[in-house]
Amino acid sequence: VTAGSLRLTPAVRPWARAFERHGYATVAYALLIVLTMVSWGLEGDFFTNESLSQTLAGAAPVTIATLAVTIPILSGNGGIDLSVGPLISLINVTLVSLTYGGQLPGDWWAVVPVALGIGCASGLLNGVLVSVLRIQPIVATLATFLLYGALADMVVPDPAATAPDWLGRFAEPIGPIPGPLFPILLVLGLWLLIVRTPFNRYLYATGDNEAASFSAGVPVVTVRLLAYVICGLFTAVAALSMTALIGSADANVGNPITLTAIAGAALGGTALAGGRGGLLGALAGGLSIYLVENVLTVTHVPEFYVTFSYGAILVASIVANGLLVIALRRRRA
Amino acid sequence: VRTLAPSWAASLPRPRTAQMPTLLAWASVGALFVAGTLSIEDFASLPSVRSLLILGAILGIASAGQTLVVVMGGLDLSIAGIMTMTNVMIPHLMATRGFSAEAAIALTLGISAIIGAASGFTSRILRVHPLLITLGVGFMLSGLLLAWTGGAPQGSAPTWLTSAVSAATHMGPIPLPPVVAVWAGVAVVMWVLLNRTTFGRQVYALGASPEAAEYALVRPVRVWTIAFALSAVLACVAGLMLSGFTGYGDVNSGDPYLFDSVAAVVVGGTSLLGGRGGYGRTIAGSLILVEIQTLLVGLGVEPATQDAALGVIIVAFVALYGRERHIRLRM
Repeated sequence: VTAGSLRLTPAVRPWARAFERHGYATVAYALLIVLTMVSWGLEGDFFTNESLSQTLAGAAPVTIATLAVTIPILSGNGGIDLSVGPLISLINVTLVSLTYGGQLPGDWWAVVPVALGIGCASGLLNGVLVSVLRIQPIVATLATFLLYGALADMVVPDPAATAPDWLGRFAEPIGPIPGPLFPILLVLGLWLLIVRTPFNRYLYATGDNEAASFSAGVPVVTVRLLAYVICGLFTAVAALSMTALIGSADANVGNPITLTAIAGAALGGTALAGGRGGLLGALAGGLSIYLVENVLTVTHVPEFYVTFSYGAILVASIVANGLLVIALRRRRA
Repeated sequence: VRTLAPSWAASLPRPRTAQMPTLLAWASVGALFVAGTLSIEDFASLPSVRSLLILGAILGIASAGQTLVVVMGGLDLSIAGIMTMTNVMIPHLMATRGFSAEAAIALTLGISAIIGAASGFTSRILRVHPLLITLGVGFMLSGLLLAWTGGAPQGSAPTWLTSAVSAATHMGPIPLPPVVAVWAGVAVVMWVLLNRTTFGRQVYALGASPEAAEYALVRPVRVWTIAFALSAVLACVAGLMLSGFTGYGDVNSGDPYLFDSVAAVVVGGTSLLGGRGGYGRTIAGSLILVEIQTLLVGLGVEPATQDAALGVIIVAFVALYGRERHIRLRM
């Protein structure tokens, strides 16, 4: 043991240790702070409960979807889930048409389990295709992207169909707290529970080096399968947020989220090679992606530039994250 | 390596497992054609085959660069963006800036090559996944095109281009439009490039094992830069053919090719893990996808059901011969 390696032990340098673990999210949090400041500058009332609720209601679906899609990416070997967008649409139209048509009670105890059930089942299908059948993730989830999108199109709800009233409250302030925070906190809370289990370490190990993990007895097939199931579960919460936001059924509402969620995950510092990154970064990544759009809308920039900025920020943040990784590696060497 | 097999066993013809995906893919092309002929009237007629080949050619050329990049262990999601750019830019430049068709095409090819080279260089030198870089580049391109044209591109494709992709045009005695010859040309170039050049071997070497390739003195950054530039140029050629097909600029024209170019490569049997596969398989993959789409339309299936069926069929094909090996066998 040299003096150099001792310096990074937790008792001596707790901050250094925290940076070792969460430093990957630096770029995302820097961007999030800048964007929050800009938004605050543009809208003086940005931090009021009312305005914050509105912003977070818009941000919640894409942020939660970003958290969801980060988990399969962490599992490595090209892990990705392209189907999150259409899955949001599918859950949205199914819930609204079932509750409006009276086939399903509109109460929370009926709606939430059904949504989470569809999410888990879809995640399970993705997981079986990827992990058990061993079809490359981008192809398997492209197929389910088409499938879930098609299923959403086949559910033709009454054009006048509206979501249950209680759901809409999650797009408004609830008491002194912005309502949309609850679904985000629910997902983060679930994740904090999952992190306590061996699954978390298995997930990172599998993503980092599948062969070594397999040799060490990590159940890589189950781990990857579960990564997709959890992704589906979280996507269902994103779909509930989306339904709260729009209050109606729209078979295409979630589709663009696939690409923005993947962009948010990358912005959040999660490497597509797997094993590096995490949900802390994804939270900032997803929120930032939404705030970019928000800032551009507030400043009346033509809609055309929104797409361009997504691309520019995605490329810039990936380049910044790449440089950060290289710098961290140099420092460690 | 010592084996328990007797020495004469080595001289027996061994099953070439590496050839299996190619054989299965081409068998599927044939099987789908037979299925189409049996279930739809006129499926095997000349006009129907002609339109099948035109659609196949556009997808096949778009997937050529994708094949190159995938064999190298990468992925290019900017192909759709470059196709749209070509589709919109050439008529728009000709109509609003007084460009000649040749100048507009040359400029677009040059820009495509630079964009591709920049994507390949950046993702390799920073070791970030090309999926993200090329996705970002695709977003930027479509945003810029919308901003530049105001969402309403002007002009129309040159008439010689439209007729080159038109089913009514024949190449002398051959009753096929020139776009099919362009596809054949791309196929020959791809075959020579991948099988008969140093660059091609380096692409396979990098895809099979980046570390080993570096020890074999392959310069990864250079190969990645060139491969992505070539992919972008081929996407530009595909965009040109698409312009001939649509006849005018459309800011969404390239969108279907974002994932279709990947699907054609994978359904053909080239592994996304890199190092294996080739363009012959992608030709089969493109034909399979176009045949399936034609079949579904011909059978009068609703658009939503078509998408669902396409998704199921892609999985079925890949499950048939494109599955990864179990981790136990990969070690």
